Amino acid sequence: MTPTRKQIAKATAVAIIVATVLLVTIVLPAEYGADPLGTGKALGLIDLFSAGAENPASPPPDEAVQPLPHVYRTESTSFTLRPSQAFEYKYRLEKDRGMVYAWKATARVKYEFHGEPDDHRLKVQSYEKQEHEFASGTLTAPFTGIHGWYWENPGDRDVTITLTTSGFYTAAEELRPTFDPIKHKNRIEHVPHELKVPAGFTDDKPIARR
Amino acid sequence: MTAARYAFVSAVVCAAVVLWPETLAAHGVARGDARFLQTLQGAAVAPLMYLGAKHMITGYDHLLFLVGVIFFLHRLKDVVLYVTLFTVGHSVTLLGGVLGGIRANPYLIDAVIGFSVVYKAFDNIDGFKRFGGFQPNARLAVLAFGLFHGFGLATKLQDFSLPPHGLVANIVSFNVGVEIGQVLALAAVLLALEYWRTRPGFAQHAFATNTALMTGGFLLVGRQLSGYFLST
Repeated sequence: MTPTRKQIAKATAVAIIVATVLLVTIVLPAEYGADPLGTGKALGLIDLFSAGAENPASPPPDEAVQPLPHVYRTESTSFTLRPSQAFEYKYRLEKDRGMVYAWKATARVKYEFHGEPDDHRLKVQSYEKQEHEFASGTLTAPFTGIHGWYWENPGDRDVTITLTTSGFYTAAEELRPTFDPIKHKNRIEHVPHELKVPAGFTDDKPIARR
Repeated sequence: MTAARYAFVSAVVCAAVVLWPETLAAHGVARGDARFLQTLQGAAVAPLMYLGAKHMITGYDHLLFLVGVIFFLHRLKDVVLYVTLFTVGHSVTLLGGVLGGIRANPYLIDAVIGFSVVYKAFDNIDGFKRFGGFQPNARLAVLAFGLFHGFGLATKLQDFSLPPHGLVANIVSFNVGVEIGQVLALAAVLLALEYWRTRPGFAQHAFATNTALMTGGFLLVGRQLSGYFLST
């Protein structure tokens, strides 16, 4: 029995349509957090994506506790963004060192929590990309490099972001796009932030272990 | 009812594509295995062979393609011939890719692998004969897609910086494992197909099943292409 042209065309069309529907309604929300029809939210599939994105590099349970001879720091800082202004704040973390964070903005902001490895094996790894007023979580650095946030104010009023972090980071810097009048173009200015060494610790000395 | 058969088989195929654990499937090696690979020092023949076989058996994209390839092969001689061509193809690019350090984007490679499933399923329902008025050289196609499947394997192995010491032994072991896994999976598929061919209405089932295979292939292509465009 040989299929007719009509049967083949119909079969191919059905295959494409079924695959597209499944892709858009189920696979895209679950795998990539893209939810064009809102089905991911309705079915709760989008949670799969956000659970993976918040903590992409959590080590397996048997490696959950690692004694790290390093200074533990805490910082609370705030920034103000003018309408349509964007900037980044990053912490330097070595591979497998952890950081706990929480931030809150006075209005909705676009943000991307991401890391840039020192060895440039990849340019940037995104941990979380959304539009929201606050976020919090724990990061275990998947590689040595700078890890932090890009924030953008999409509104028409000033927004203040307050960020609190603690962890084993060694430096912090602010990346602000500024206009260079001499070269007549925008450039990224790296502004280091001074981090306080907490009382009882001296820099680069291991934490005493009980 | 062809429609009901199609619905049932494509539900199974698509469920496999969607629900198969990501760690086991198209995107590489499970986390524990990954840690093992990174701590590797020197040649480890048996573990690498095991990982190769495991990759082949749990990687539904390779399996869907092979099911398509052997679907209408009745004689064992033909099965051996086509599977050998596929093996030669993917061995060349697996060895060459890893040793030559050639890296391809895994999403694009996996999209081509998904397309190979679409191609074979379309061929199986006589799509090329009826629409193009020609029959593409099936052996050449299997060899060519074998090359792409090997590239996919190579790219996944290269995600782990394997130590240079014992590299060749390790890749060859992985490749041998892939072949063992392929033989095991094929044996199961062949047995099922052989039995199925003796049942009445095989031709009708065959059309619905290949349409379902094609659906799975399109879904693989869509998923990998979305990954390419949406992931940073």
